[in-house]
Amino acid sequence: MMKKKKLLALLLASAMVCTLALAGCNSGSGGTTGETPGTTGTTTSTSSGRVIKIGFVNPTSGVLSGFGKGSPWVEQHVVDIINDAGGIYIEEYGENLQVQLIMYDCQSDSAKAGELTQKLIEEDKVDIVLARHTPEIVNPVVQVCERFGVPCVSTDAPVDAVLAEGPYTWSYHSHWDLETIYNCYQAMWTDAGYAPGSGAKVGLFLANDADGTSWNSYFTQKIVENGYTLVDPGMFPANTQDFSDIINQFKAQGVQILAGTATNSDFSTLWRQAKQQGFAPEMVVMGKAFLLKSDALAIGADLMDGLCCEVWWSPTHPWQSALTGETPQDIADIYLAEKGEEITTPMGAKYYGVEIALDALQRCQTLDKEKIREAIGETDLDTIFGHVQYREDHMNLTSLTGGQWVKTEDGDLERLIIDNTLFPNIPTTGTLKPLNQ
Amino acid sequence: MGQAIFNGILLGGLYALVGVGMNVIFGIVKLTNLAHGDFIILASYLGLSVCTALGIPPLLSLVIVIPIMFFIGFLLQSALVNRVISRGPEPPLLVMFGLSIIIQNLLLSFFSSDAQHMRSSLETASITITDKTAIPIMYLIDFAIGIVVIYLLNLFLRRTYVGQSIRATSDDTMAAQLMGINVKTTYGIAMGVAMATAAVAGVLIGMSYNFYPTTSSQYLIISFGVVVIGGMGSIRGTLFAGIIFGLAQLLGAYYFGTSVQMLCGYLVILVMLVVRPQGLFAK
Repeated sequence: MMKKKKLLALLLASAMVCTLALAGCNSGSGGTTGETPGTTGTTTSTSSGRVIKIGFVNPTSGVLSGFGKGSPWVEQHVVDIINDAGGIYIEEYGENLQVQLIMYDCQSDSAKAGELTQKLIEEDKVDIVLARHTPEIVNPVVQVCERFGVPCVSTDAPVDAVLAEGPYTWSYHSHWDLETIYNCYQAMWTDAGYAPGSGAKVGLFLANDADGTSWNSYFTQKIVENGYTLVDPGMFPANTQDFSDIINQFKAQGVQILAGTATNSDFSTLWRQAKQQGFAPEMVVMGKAFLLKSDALAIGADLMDGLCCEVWWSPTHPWQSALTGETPQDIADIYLAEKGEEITTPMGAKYYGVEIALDALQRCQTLDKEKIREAIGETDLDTIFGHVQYREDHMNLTSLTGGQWVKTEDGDLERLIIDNTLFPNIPTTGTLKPLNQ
Repeated sequence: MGQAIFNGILLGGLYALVGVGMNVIFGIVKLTNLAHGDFIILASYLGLSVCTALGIPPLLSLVIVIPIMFFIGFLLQSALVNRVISRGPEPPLLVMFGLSIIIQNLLLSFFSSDAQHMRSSLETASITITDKTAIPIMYLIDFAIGIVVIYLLNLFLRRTYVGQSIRATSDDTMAAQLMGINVKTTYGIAMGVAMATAAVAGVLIGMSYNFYPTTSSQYLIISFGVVVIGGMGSIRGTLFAGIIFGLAQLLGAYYFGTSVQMLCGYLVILVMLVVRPQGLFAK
């Protein structure tokens, strides 16, 4: 009996330890925090020996590593263009300085992202910090920059989630907000014949995480306001293994549009079980779940055919970088040629973060942090992700269009832009096709 | 209601299968296997690789994945865990924790962080019973295989010489040693057997859900739950524990909504710990 109790205590202790360790540090993807070699062979030494340092943390491993893909290749690509052209003139050194990148793997962990940003600031003495990829990483990085008074260029996290932690002095953020994404979804519903006021039944699928909670309060209100019938089964905990209760509610209420945002893992479970249990909505618009092509392929071409999502950026977007002269198509082609893979949406966000930082440095020509901060605030720049000009509250809104995944003849998947109601200057590449045909 | 009960029971079969390997190691080697979730996901990736390489249906990959996993388990136990097992419970625990991190990062570097799935024609098939109830074929397969594996495991431990020596070692290590049983080999075989069950669980999970290198923690937590409810070291208890765990989740969702689905499962664990901390079927 004593032995049993001891074993039980040990089991419990280890259960707690592992929940903490695995869930807390996001599955403890150990690994060393690797530092990029910085500027490579092209660096020409300057007489002062000073380089401009730009630091960032990247979710190279862990649950967010889909976002981390492409770093530091993309950042280095942009920096190399500037370095090859001679670097950036800095007045107090009276010469052109080279730019060096310093990257750490935060292992998709919020706490680690904050710690490593502190390390970038205190030990590496970076001049500018870049924050990117979901509120889980952006918010802690931005907070550290605010505390230490270091200029921070932030991208790729819903504006509402970042703004909620504000106001900001040192950080400037750029992405879409909830209002834009709701309007983008509604435009797609309208395309499918469910205009506002039609009373069409919209079923919400949202996890009870940070993203899901903020969407929930906005979407439940807007859906009702705009004359749709809301079917809200409540938010679910991440990694739920069985959604039959939600599916049955959707079926019983005759949901026509399935909408929300979910991780790939949760949505794939829901959608497979929906097929098993005969729930067939007329339209599915889901954020995050199949942002990356690898996510869509894991769900499967047959199951994915006809599902809709928001598109933040794509190689066909009509933007052009004023800094490098490259278009989204250019960088997609270069990446494909060098890495043999298709470019992902978050890589566009990586690219224009570096653009904003370099542009500010080129304009202010000093390494004085206050001056750099002011220069970032005055940004008025065409980037590969669209035009960036910050509002009073340090935010900038980017574009959103409606996309649809379509199965091609050879069984592959392709994401077409099927709605540009909100941003008509972004060309569509297809038209919406019905889900159940 | 019918759907919730069917799905709860059937899902329980998969939960039992996830937890049974953990329970074997816990009962016999007296070791909390923190890497169990990673072993399961490792098997999912092995299954996926085998299917892609040979172009065979996912279930057939078990023929190759089970022996590989058995061998890996035997090797890990003999080469790593057995070396530290005599130094108290903490060092082997740390070894397993280390293994968990290593496996996860190996998977990440070999297969990247992309979501994966083992595709089969069965994944969306189901048997319609009434307008409101349909039984997914995949759930049925998970459940049936879960029962078969647990039955075979029970048979192996009771009827074969190796199984009996494993049980003897678990009951009284010293006496078993005196009777000429090589304890360390026995531990190796036990770990191999646990890994073989993880292999089956991994392939079924790969067919039922999307997986990533980081999915492992959620299955580790399920196996803890199953072990606590069923009773440490009780193979038969694992099956009932899985079903109770699955039913608690699905009935909880039916009555109170999916938002409390997981919570209801954990509440059952909590109640078990208060009322019967040794588990339902502990010796």
